[in-house]
This record gives sequence, C-alpha cells and structure tokens, in this order.
Amino acid sequence: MALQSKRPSRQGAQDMKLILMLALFTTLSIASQEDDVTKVSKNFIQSIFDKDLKNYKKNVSAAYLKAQVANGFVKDTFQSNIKNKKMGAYDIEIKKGAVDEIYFVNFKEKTQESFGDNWFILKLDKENNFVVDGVHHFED
Amino acid sequence: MKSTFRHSLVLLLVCMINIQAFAQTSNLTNRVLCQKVLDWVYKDLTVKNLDKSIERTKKKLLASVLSTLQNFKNGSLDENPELAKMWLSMKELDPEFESYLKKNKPYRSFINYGFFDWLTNSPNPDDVEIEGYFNLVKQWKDLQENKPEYFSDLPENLKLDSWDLATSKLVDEIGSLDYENQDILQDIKDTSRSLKSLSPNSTKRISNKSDSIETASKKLDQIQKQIMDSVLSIYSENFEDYKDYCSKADFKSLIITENAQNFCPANLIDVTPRPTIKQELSEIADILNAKDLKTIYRPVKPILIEQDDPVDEDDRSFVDRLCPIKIDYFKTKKPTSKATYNMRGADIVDTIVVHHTGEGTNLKTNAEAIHKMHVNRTTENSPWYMVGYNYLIGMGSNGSSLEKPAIIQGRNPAFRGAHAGGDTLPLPPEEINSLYSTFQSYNCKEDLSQTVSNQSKITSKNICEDSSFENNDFKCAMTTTNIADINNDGSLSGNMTSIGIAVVGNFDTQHTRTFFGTEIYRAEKVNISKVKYALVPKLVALVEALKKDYPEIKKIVPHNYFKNTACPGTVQEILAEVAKITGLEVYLSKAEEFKKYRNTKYKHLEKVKIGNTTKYRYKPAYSQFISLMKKIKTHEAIILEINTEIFMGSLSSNHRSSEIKKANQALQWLYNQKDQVAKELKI
Repeated sequence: MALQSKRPSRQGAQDMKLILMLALFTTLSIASQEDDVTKVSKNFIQSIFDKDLKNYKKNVSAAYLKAQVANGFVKDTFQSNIKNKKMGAYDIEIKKGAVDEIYFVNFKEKTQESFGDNWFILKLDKENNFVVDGVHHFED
Repeated sequence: MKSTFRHSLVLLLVCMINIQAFAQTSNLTNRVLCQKVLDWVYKDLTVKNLDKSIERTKKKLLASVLSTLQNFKNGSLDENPELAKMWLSMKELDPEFESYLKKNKPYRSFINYGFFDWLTNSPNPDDVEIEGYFNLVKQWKDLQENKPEYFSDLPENLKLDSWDLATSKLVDEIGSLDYENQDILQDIKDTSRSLKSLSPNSTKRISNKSDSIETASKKLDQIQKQIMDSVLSIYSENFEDYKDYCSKADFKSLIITENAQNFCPANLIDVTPRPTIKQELSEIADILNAKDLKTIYRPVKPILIEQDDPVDEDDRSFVDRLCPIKIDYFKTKKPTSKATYNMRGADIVDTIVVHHTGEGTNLKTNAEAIHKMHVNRTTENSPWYMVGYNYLIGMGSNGSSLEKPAIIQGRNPAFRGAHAGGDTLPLPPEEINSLYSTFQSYNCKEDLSQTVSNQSKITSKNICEDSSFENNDFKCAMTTTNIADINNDGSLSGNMTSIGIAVVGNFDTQHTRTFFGTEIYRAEKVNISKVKYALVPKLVALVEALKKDYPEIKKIVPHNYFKNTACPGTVQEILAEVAKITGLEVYLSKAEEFKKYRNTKYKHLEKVKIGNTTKYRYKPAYSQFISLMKKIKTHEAIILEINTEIFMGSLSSNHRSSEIKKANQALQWLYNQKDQVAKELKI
C-alpha cells in the first residue's frame, strides 16, 4: 500500500476553495441578513415615533398587526393627537435564531443599564422580507 | 386512679396497634388526620358501647336495691330514705325503670307485700330534684361509699364505679345533643332510643334474691366481655381502614405519653380466664368522657395520588402520577446539533423557581410554541437544547382550560433546566465540600433521529399513557472526574439547583412597553385574581409531588429572586399561599433569605455593595478555602472542555490524553490541599 502524500492533491485544493467560498458566502449572507434586520427594526421603532402607520405596517407581519389592532395599540398610537416624545440615542441588540431563520431584537435607551427580558421576533414573510412577528420573553 | 386508668388505656391502645397487621406504611402520613382518626375511634367506641354500658349501670342499680332490701326487716326502703329518694328520682327520670323491675322475679312477688308502696308515700315526690342521670348515679355511688352498711352483701364488682359515672354523663349529653350532621344525630338518637327500651333477658328467671345478685354478676361479666370484643373490633376496623394514611408509628407517636410504662395490659386479654378484664374495662371509662362528641366526626379520607393508581408497585415519579401532558418537542422542532444538556443529581435540587411565560404569550399559547423559541436561543455560544422550563402549567394551552388546568412536562427535571438566569447565594463551605463528591454528567446528547415520530397533538389518549416522549436515550460525555461546577464566588447556577415551573400566560403588571416614554408595544395580560382559583391547586399539587420526588426541596422563589426581572409578574402574589400549603419556605429575594440565616446557615457570608449592586461574599477567614476552590474549578473546566471536544467529535479520545492526565494530577493535589484547609477551618 502506497504511503499517502501529506501534500494536498489538486482535487483537495479545489474542494478547499469551494468550502472557503461557501463559508464566505454564508458569512456575507448572514451579515446582509443582520443588516436587513437592523434596518427593519429601526424603521419599525421610527414609524411609531413618527406616527407613520404606513411604514409601521411595512415592518410588521399580518398576524402581529392584527393583534396590535385588536388590543387598541394601533388606534391609540397612530390615530391620536398626542405628540410622542423625542426618541434619543439607543442601543440595539440582535441575536440570530439557532435553528430557524429568525432574529431576536431588543432596544435599550443609552442611559439604561441593560436590555429588558422581552425581545421582538423578526422572521421572513412571504416576500422574503424580515418583519416583526411577535415578542419573546427571554428566560435565563 | 383516673390517671392510672388513662395511662393503662394508652398502653392498651399501643398494644392493640401492635397486633394489627398493617400493610406497607404509606409515606403520606398526616399527623392531624391521624389524630382525627384516633378521636373518631374513641367516639365510635363510646357510642357503640353506650347501650351495653347503660345496661351495665342499670344492672348495678338493681343489684344495689336488692342488696339493701335484704338488709331491712320489713323489706322496704323506709330505713334507707336516701336510697328511696334516689329510687324515686330514677323513676321520674326513666319511667321504664320501675316496669323493668316489676317484670322480673323476685321483684314481681314483692308487689304483693306492698314493696312499691314507698314509691308513693315516701318521700314526697315534690321534693325530688331531677338533675339528670349523672348526678343521680353519683349520689348513688357516694351513698355506697359513705354508708357501706346498707350494701353489706353487695359484691364489689356490682358497686357503681367511674365507668357508670361516665356512662350516665353521656346519657345526659345525648339528651342535649344538637348535631349539625343529621346522619350522626340520627345514629345517636337511635342508640339513645334503644337504650331506653332495654329490658332484661326474659328467658332467664331469677329464683330468689341471692340468686339474682349472682345472675346480675354473671350478666355483668357477659356485658363486659361484649364490650371488650367490641373494643378490639373497633380498633381493628378503624386502624385497618386508615392504614394508608396513618402508619403504626403515627398512631404510636400520638398516643404514647411520657408517663407510659413498660406494661402491656393487652397481653392479658387472651389469658383464660381473664383475671384483669374488669380492670381493663374500667379503664375504658376514661374513654367514655374523654372527648367532646359534638366535634368529632369520622375523618374524610384525603384524595391521594395512590388512589388514582390501582397498581401498588408504581415505579413512576410522583409528578408522573399526576398525569402531566407529555409532548414530543423534537417532533415540533429539533435543536441544533451543537445543543447539549447536562444531567444532575436529585439531591442537588433544593428550590422551585416560578415563572410566567410573559410577553408574547397568552393563556392559549401552547408549550410547543415556547419550545420553538427556546431552541432558537443561545446563551454564551451554547445553543439551547429544548424548552428551558421543567414544567409548565396551562390554563388554556395544550387542551387545558381554567376549569381543567394541566401540568405540562417541559425539560426532563433530571436535566439542568434553562430558566433561572442567576446564581444561588454562596454556599456554606460544608455544602461545597460535599459537592465535590456529587456525580454529574455534562454535555449529554441524544440521537434525535431515534426519537419517536408520534403525532405531538395532545389528545386524551397520549396523556399519561405514552411515556415514549421522555428523552431517555441520551449519551453523556465521559468525565474522568466528578465536576462540582461551583462558581468562583462559591455559588451554584440557579438552574442546577432548581426546578423551573412556568405559568403559561403574561402576568406582567404593565401591559404596555414604552421606549423614551412612548408606547411601542401592547401585550395581552392575564389578571391573576381571575385564574387564581385554578392555578393555586394545580401548582400546589405539582409542588407536593416534586417535594416527594426531590426530598431536598425546601424553598419556592419567584424568578426575580435569581435575576433582575419582572418575571413572574403577579404570579408572585400566590407564592406565599402555595408555600404555606406545601410547607415550603418562600423568599422573594436573596436579601430576605440572607437576613433569616445570617447567623446560622450563612454566617460565613458578608453583604457588600458594589456600585448599585448588592453582593454576598465569603468573609476573609475563608479566603484560602475559596482560593483553592477557584483553582479546582479551573482544572475541572480544563478537563470538562477536553472531554466535551471529544464528545462532540472534534477530538479523538487519545488526543490530549496527557493533558487530561496532567490536569487530573493537579486536581488531586488541590483536593488534598482543600481537605487540609477545611480541616483547619473546622468545615
């Protein structure tokens, strides 16, 4: 039995290239997704402060919107004459789901020590856009 | 004398219990219940034997009159006006008493001699004061003791005694009974009625006075034997009936007094003839007036978990006997292949942590939905394996309702949960020392392709019937040493020492979330007062079962005990009630617990403020011990890390074996050092 060469074969080098490209693509893809999620999250918050229902609807899922209409949030927020306070500097934290194509997003005013327990859930809608779909109460 | 009777009775009772064949002793003992059973036994004994007791007293009264008459020349009671007065009183009190006499020889023959004339002539009936049976019998008894010459030929066993006093007192009490329980009242009234219609055995004829006394004496023995048989039967029946609730030891502890002597009168019961039978029976007199009949009922047997399960050899956990809903979580969503879980020993679990599932959920949110979110989560680069709570309580989810709340199995509690998010108070050094010998398995994985593929939909069929959803087919990393996994400050992870129970729903006090003073989200919220009636009993049942499965559980805390969080919202309000019912301690914060035990269990700790945070740390005297502990922790972590890599398949077991060996040697040296320091500190 011939000794195996320690030097990678040409085929091996090709495989390695492919793997590296795939890894790069995945990394870029995730980075791109995170950018999208950040953008949607910021738009979502901004739409509330701007009382911009059209923009709000763009950034939330149908189910989420239905629930917020049902409990009166949409009416009280977007159809009232009460002026919102000014939004100051804030931090945003994003966690990718370990299994699904979802993200957990949280906001914190700069002056606050830590993020709260409740995170917005962002998932892809039918048109492959990330939208706010719910809230998840984080334990641990 | 009475006291001696009581003590003898107690001993008799002990012996009675000893001779009963008790089946296996249930561990569901209840001291209060057992005392009630005992009270009922006394009452049962009293009521069932009252008829015989009264007959016994009447026999004595008759014999007493007969004996007096024998001593008087003219065969009347004129020479004994006191007895005549009592006689008249008895007639007034019990009209049947006279006819009772008249029916029988030799009394029947006395009629011809005007024997009963005195009843109308002397004394004046208007002078008779009827104060009830008890006073009458007492006066009669006193007369026998003060004027023995009137009763010179009356045998001792036919003289009135304390038993007769107790019997007559009960007769008075029956007349004034006002029971709320109509069934019991009827029983007692029936008994009372049957007592008043008592008549002597007509088949037995009494030929003369002396014979009649002898016959009365024999009859008395017969009655007393019947009572003793009844005593045995009542004890046997009641103790056997309640054996699943009260063990022999329970009864013993309730009836043994500090004055008890090493004497067992019951040993004499089977001796023939029974030389002590009268003495034993007189002891029963103590029972007759020992308890207030009005307040004693036969205790209702509590509904026990065992009653739901006809199989005696039930090897299921106590929680499983509550039939929790079991879900094939992996059918809903598998975790990432990197997810692992840790096992733990049951003896390390001492706390129940209560949560609510919070914002984003409502009463109808199914456990699978929570599991889906949890498997998507990652803590410190470690993905979650499955739903983090060990149990959930549903009042609308997974087929449950407010009318039928349900316990839902979460993460098997044999595994460390993921819910507490904080650490315990630094443990007492003694506990840390013992932890080094506690076995725990780290980083277990399952072959999820092997898990059942049954439909996860919850139906009545798969509740409590299908246990295949339990993740038993696990594999754990082979650790070469026991890992205590103690934090550097001497604390343990809250997840390690606790079982997490989440109440499904959002119980936050606020239902709106604000950001820079503006509402950004409105949540559904559950009002605790509207679900409390369903929640408390279910939580209590679960906690009671957990206490049996995990005997070290001593306290129940809200999630915010471990972590600065609003969880469990208003569910926190019911914890004191649950703790009170289940006998657990409840602490709403570490500060509260520390305050209680600062001079005992936590005397090794001091409270320090770092910034806005309060910390609890070891006093300086323990610095060397803690320093060694930290080094041990570092070396354990090295071994754990290598083993994990091997387990996860990224290293072969041969690889870095020398490193493991080296770390193990270092650990052994540290263990020895730690033992030495512990000895010096008298830990």
